[in-house]
Formats: sequence, structure tokens, C-alpha cells
Amino acid sequence: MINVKIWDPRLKLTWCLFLVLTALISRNMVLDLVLLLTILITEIITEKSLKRFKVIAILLLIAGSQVLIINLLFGRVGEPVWSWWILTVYNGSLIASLLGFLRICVITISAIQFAYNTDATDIAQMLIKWHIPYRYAMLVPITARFFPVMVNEYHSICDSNSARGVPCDTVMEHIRNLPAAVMPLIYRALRISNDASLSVELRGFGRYETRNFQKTIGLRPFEGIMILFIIMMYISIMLCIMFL
Amino acid sequence: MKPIISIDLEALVFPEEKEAALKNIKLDINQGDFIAVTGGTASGKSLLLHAITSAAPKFYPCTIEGTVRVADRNVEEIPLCEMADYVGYMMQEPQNQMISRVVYDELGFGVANMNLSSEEIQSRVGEIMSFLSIQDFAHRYTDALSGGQAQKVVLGSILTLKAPILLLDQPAAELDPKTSSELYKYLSWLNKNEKITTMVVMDKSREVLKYADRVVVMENGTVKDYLNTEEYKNKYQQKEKNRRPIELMVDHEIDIVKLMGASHIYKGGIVGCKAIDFTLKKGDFTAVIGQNGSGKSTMLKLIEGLLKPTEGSIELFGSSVTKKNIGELRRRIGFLFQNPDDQIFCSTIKEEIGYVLKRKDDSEAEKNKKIQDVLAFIGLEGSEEVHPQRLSRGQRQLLALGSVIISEPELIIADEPTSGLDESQSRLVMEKLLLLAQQGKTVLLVTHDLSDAKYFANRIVVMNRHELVLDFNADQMDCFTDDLIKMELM
Repeated sequence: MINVKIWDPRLKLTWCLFLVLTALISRNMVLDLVLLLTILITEIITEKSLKRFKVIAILLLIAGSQVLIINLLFGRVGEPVWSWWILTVYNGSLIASLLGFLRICVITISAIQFAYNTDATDIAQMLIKWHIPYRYAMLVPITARFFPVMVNEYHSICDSNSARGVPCDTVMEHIRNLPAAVMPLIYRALRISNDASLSVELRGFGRYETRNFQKTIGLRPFEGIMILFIIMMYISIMLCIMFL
Repeated sequence: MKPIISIDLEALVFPEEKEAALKNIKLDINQGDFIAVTGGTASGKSLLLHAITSAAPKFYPCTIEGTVRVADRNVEEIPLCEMADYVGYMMQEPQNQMISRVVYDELGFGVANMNLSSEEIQSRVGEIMSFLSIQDFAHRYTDALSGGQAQKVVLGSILTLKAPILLLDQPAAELDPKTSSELYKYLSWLNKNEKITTMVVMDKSREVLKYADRVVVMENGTVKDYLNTEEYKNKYQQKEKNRRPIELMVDHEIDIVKLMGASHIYKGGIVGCKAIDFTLKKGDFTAVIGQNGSGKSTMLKLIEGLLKPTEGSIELFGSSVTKKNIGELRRRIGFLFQNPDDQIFCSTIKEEIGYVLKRKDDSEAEKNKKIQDVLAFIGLEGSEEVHPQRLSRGQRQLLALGSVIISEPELIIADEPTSGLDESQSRLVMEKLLLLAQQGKTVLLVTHDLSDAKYFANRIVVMNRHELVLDFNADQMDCFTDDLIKMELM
């Protein structure tokens, strides 16, 4: 297994941006499909599994089906391929739906791949290298820390709601009983953020202009070459799309 | 010798409050003192620590008449981010105070802010890790830590600052007796050997009294007494709780809960509890005790149906628990959680208490009567329109209890309901549970506090390493002292 986590975050960000921007400028389903396959292949090479994309794949399929339904109902592009009563389906709508779906897939999955493979403190380091004050850069790892905390809080609130006769077992029950979970979650979030901000100040955060992060990031030669290669690849694809 | 902390406060008043939250406090604390702070609900213990750190008024806006001096400097003149030079402050709820994803980074967070060299940071973090014996989980995620581990990590991140004063707000509130005892030993060692001035808000365990030199007793926002430990013990400390005779109407014919070889294994193969055989009779007040992570909470969640047994079976009120009847069975159970804030979601006390009545067909008059009865029971009558978040934690726990008992459950399950409460608050909650048991309700209590179990329950069940190992009548506790000591529960 290749340990992508140790790679420079700027290389991983360049790769992610390449995929996102190419998907945005692409008007070709084949290119989008190639991009999607590239992400999946790199994932298999680095992680030997696609398990990390399981949840998002389900969500993307739901979103994709919505895009398809809306396009089929209201799209009027291309030739009619099927008709029943007032409903007519055009082939252009099908293509547009698939293109839209593939784009969403490439953008979402590449962003998730970047988020999974990049440590939040590395992102903070990257922002510091771009001369963003560390007080703001540190917001990234702090957010990364509180996301799972809030998920745990939400689960414990759901458990206590269930015990009080507000069931939270199925997705529908979660949605229906959201108001009962949201209020305590907001109180908890406010309390946690309050305590956390006092705690960081009392440990000297923001006292000096700089801070010793212990671990710093540095671009190795092969990473620099990779970034250049990715940029050149993007320019080539863009030129091909523009002139071919 | 000049005191290291000198408090001369006439009043500390929060905006829109008529009463001063702290008043007439004159207190001098010398370097190397070990002070325990105690007092009743909302007596101002935590606020006193906030005033010393200058978090009140700098973080919590309020007006202060008087001065607080630390190391001969007026704290008003010291920016909050410079207080780390003087004070290491650990608040309640350690999970809220950690901001790094990984334990090692959290330990080094404060020293990294001081801009020390990487070698110095590594040396300080390494020293504290071995001092607190937390090397084993140095690279674990902070959100995956148990309460006890989180408490050690937060303490560690403060100790790395090497501040001359330590302020700790109920540092052992979530710890089992063994870990709590270890923590106070560490603090005492630091106090004696490093001359670190230590101020600890006392939790109900009173373990800190073994090490404290003096005790500050607070009442209504002022210092009522400032005594040495012996004087405090003579004046305030109740004699060791003796087993009190409890008359409960236990019906040995009716099984309320029956666990038959019930086990639960979490995802990833983590064992929750193993092969539990346990029967709870109608009218019983049973206490389940055990170390952190011994499987007590998992067992409760199995009973409540929040988790399913991976092996064995469960019967509630004489029926096997199935997906179909779990909702109906749950309505007969009231579950009181460790953290009251998890189950409070309305904007007034009245609304909160009456939440479950919304689904019932009672008339408005009947509903109001029930609400008033419950409010009187929990001692919050007259506060119907108050926002729950304005109550103290003990009062919020009572409110949660009120919102549970209004549906008149036959079985009340309480998962460490006194965790994070001081002695007076926890006594209030426990008295109410006992009263309910005496009214014929069945109560199943999970607690770390052996004296609560001994004093209030009529039966004690001990869990150790995910298994139920002892089950005896509370009267016979003395016969099991050796076993309890072996399991580090005494």
C-alpha cells in the first residue's frame, strides 16, 4: 500500500483541483468517466479498497436519480425517444443527466479522497506557507477535531430521545425528529465551542506572531515534478477541449 | 511571604442580574498551598476559579468591584493568552477542552503556543506522558478516549505549561475510584515536590481531602469558611455513610428485567458485555457498580433496547424484546442519562416536563396537574417559565428526572446520574430516586460511587471486565470487601 498521507498537501490539492476543474470544463461523458475511473483506480492502488466511498456512493446515487428524473420530466433537448400521454423523453436529457451525474461524482469523490488522505494539520501548514496567519489556519484542524465530537454528541442525544419515546432508528425517524435533536445539539455545540475557546486562550494561543508546529511540510523534488506534470496535463486537456 | 493568589472582591455581577454572583471575598493563598474548594449548588466555586484566571470578566462579561492578584500582578492587566505563564486551568468536561485530533498534539498544544524549540516541546511532552502513564495512547484520536483518559490528557496538556498555579474544577468527576485516587496522588506529588500551588473544586468523592492543606467553603457566592482540613472534617463532613435500613416493596414473583446470557460485541470486535445473567424484581433498587469500561452502560443500553444482544436474550416485563414490541416496552421505562443536556430540548421547564404528555389524551387540566406534581417532587415549582439552560447541572439532572417520571414509568434506569455533580447536588438526585423506589418503582442505578450504592440501594451488582461477577444484598457488603478491594472499587 502506498502511504499517500505523507505526501505534501499541495500535491494532493493540485491533483484534486485537476480532477474538479477538468470535470467542470469537460463536455464529454467519456472524459468524465475516465476521470472517475482514474480516481477509483488510484484509490484501489493506495488503499486496496473502495470502502471509504460506500456512504457517499449511496448518496450520489440518490442525487443522480433526482437529476435524472428532473431532466427527463422537463428536458427538451435532442430527439424524442419515448412518449406516453403528456410525457415525452428526449435523448438529450438522458445524456445531460448522465453528464451531470458523472460531474457530481468526480467533484465529490475527488474532494473526499483529498480530505481522507490529507491530515488537517498538514492543511493548516499549507495555509501558513501561503502566509495565512496561524490563528486562522488552525481553524482547519480544530474543525476536524470537533466534527467527530459533534457526531458522537448527536448519537448520544438520539439515544436519550429514543429513551423518551422519540425514536431515532430509521432515516425517516431521524428526519422527522430532527427538531428534538437539533436544540440540544446547538446547546452542546455552544457549550463545547465556549469551553474550547477559553481553553485555547488560557493555553497561550494567539500570544505570539508565530507558533512552533513541530512538524513542517516541504515539497520534495518528485512532488514538485508531479505538480508541474499535473498542471501541464490540465493545460493540454483544456487546449484539446477548446480547439478539437 | 507575599501570597501567590490574593483575592479581594467586593462584588462580581453579571449583566442583567441583580444579585452579585460573587461577593465579599477576601482570600490569600500562599505558594505551595493545596486548597480544596467546596460548597452547595451555584455557590460560586467555578466562578471563583474563572475570576482568578480573569476569564470573568474577559471571557464572560461581568463587572468586578475589587481586585484579584496572581504572583503580585493584577489579573486585569494580564491578557488572557498570557495567563498560561501563571495558571494552568482545567475546567469540567475534559472532552470540550481538547482541540487537537491526536493525543500527542494535544499535550504539546500549549507549549507550542509558547514558541519553544521543538526539542523542548518534545522533552516536556515526553516527561508528562511518562508521569501520567499515557504513552500507550499517545497517538490515539482524542475523540476516542474514555472519560478518564480524556481527563488525564487535559491535565497533561496543562502540566506541560509548567505554570506555578494549578486550578482544577472537579478533575475526578468522571473517574472511577481507582483512577481518581491515582490522579489525586499525582497532584499531591506535584504540590509537594514541585511546589505547585493547587486549587481543586471538590467533587463528591472527597478524596482530595487526603491531600489538601485547607478547605474553602463557599455559600451564595461568598466564602463562608476557610478552614484547615481537620477543622473542615470536624465541622462539615458527615460521618461515613452507614447502611440505612431501606424498606422497599419488592415483589419477588414479578420479573421486570431478565437477561439470559446476554452479550454485546461492538463493531470491530470490541466487547461491551459478556454472558450476563441478571434478573431485576419489581420494586428493587439495584445498583450496578464497576470500573470505567467494565460494561455497565452497555448492559443498560441492552435493557433499554438501544443495543441488541449479539448473543443471549432479554425479557422485559415478562415479554421477550422484539422489534415490534420494543416501542411499547420502552414506554414503561424511564431512562435517566449521565449528561442531562442530552435529554433537554425544550425552551422552558414546563414544556420540558410536559413533553411526553403531548402524545397522551389527558385534558389540559390533568396535564397541568401532573406537571405541577412533578415540579413539586423535583423542587422546581415556581420556575415553570425558566429556560432549562439557566439551571445548575444538578437542577438540570433533576429536571431530566422529572421529564422521565412524568410518564409514570414502572422501571427507572439511571446511568451515573450523579456524575459531574458535587456532594449536595448528587445527594438531592439520589434522595429522589430512593423516594421513587419507596413508592414502588423499580430502580436500576449505575454508579461509580460505592457509598451511594451501599446507602441507597437494597441490592448491589458488580461488573468487572465486561462480566457480572458479584450480585449480593447491600446489607452483606462487608462480606465482599476483599473482592471489591481486589477489583479496585474500594
